[in-house]
This record gives sequence, C-alpha cells and structure tokens, in this order.
Amino acid sequence: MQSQDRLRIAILAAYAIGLHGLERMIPAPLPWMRFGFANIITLTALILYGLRVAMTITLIRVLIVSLLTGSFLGPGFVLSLGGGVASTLIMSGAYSLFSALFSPVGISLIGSMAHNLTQLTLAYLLFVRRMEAILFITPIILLLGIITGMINGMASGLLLKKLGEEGASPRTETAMDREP
Amino acid sequence: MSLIRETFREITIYDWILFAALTLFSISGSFLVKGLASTGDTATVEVNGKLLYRLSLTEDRTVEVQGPIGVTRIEVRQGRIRIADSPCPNKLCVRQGWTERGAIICLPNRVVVTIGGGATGEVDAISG
Repeated sequence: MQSQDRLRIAILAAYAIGLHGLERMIPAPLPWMRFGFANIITLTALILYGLRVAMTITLIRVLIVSLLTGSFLGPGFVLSLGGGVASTLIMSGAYSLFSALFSPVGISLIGSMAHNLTQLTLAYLLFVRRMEAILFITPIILLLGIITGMINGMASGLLLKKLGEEGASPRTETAMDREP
Repeated sequence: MSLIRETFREITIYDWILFAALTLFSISGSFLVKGLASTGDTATVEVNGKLLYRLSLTEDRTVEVQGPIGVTRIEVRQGRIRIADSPCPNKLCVRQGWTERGAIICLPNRVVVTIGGGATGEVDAISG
C-alpha cells in the first residue's frame, strides 16, 4: 500500500468517525432511525479510490467508534461491523457492475438495503430469534433506509462533484486497484 | 446552488426506478406484516430466550425482570402493555410506549415481550 493511500485512508476515516459522532448527537426523529452519514465517506472513497480503501475506512470507523462509545464486541458493535462490511462489499459490486446505470444515489440505495438487511439478519440470528418480531420492523427500517440512502447518495454525489471541481486526483490505476 | 441542482439532475432514471421499486416493496411489506402482528389477551416476557412470565392483559400488573445489564420494568394496564423502565442506553423499548399487538424488544437487555401466542415452548437457544 502506498503512503498516498495511507494518507487518504487516515483523512477519510477521520471524516467518517467525525460524521458518525455528529450523527449520534442529533436526536433521531424516529426511534429506529440512523442517518448513516458515514456512508457518504465510504461511498465517495469507494468511487474515487476503490474497494480496499473504502473497506479499510469502514473497519477503522467501526472499531474506533466502538472503542470511543464503549460498545466494542457488544451487540451494537457486531451489528455495525456486519452492516458496514456488507454494505461496502455490495456497493463495490454494484458500482463495478452497474456504474453505467446508477449514479451514487442508486449505489447508496443498494448499500442502505444491504446494511439494513444484514443487520436484521444478524439481529435475528444472534439476539432476537423471533421471526415475526423481525419481520414486523423490517418494512419501516427499509423505508427509513431508502430516505437516508437517497440523502446520503446525493451528498456523496455533491462531494464528488466538488472534489472534481477542485481537481482532486480521481481514481488512478495503482497497485491497490487490483485485488490480490 | 447550481452544484446541488446539477447533482440532482445527475440522478439517473434507473436510480428513480430503484427508488420507486424499493419504496413500493417496503410499503406493501408494511401492510403485509401488519396482518402478522399477533394480538390476544396474554403476553409473554422472555429474557435471553428464556420464558419468565405469561401475563394476562386483562389484569393490571407490574413485573420486573433481571437482564444482562439490569432490571427492566414491565407494566400491564387496561389491556395494554409497555416497558416502563429499562437500563438500556437508547430506551427504544420505553419509547415504543403502550402496545396491544405485536412485540416489544429491548436488544441490549435481551428482553422480548410478545403479545398473543408468543413462546409456545419452542424457544431457540440464544448465542453470542
């Protein structure tokens, strides 16, 4: 990994952690709602620098936030980790397959679905074990995820545009683009 | 802000189709699961997958159960049930308020209150 990548990862992970912290200070309008602002950074990093950078940022964010909030290895940590890893992987797949069809908004929507469905599945398998209870909350969680997914996708699109305007280096073919 | 307008314009038709399909899917899903929400005049209280109480909703009562992180207080009043107090950090279960169908779940303290049928003996093991 080049030192340039490390710098990018460090800066973007710091942004993601900052956004995550900011989000925790905003009272959620609905009890189950999470904005997932950190996904703006994950998606932007994914589009600019590829899966490995985005995944590293996600892992750093989940780890640091769980250490800061004292939820490391707790149920919340498992759900964050699962949701973050799954959505980053699925968004990466969706971006490489369908980038001709979808703008960042579509990729963000797909990521939001992956995040929520993974968390619901994990919650069922590990903690709740009551199918009807999980099914009961699934539609409302997905619906909220669609709204926040749209907002985050547009924010990511805006950020990409802004970065492009200022001539930030776009994704270039470096060693990190080729997965081992 | 022209950038915002430009960003908005860049949302493709496929993005909108995906958005519409997902919205439709989850809204129809919410009607579907509404029928699933069990009703009845009993409620079961489980902690960590273990059935602790089977409460009658016709009888006002308060019970306290010990979960992994503390004591959760559950109240039955006039055919409805709620979690009145919980040691969990976000208090989602308390905020759900009085309920007469479906379930109340407190993930941090592993408390599950199910209205109607509920646990009929085949409670699965809880891992993790």
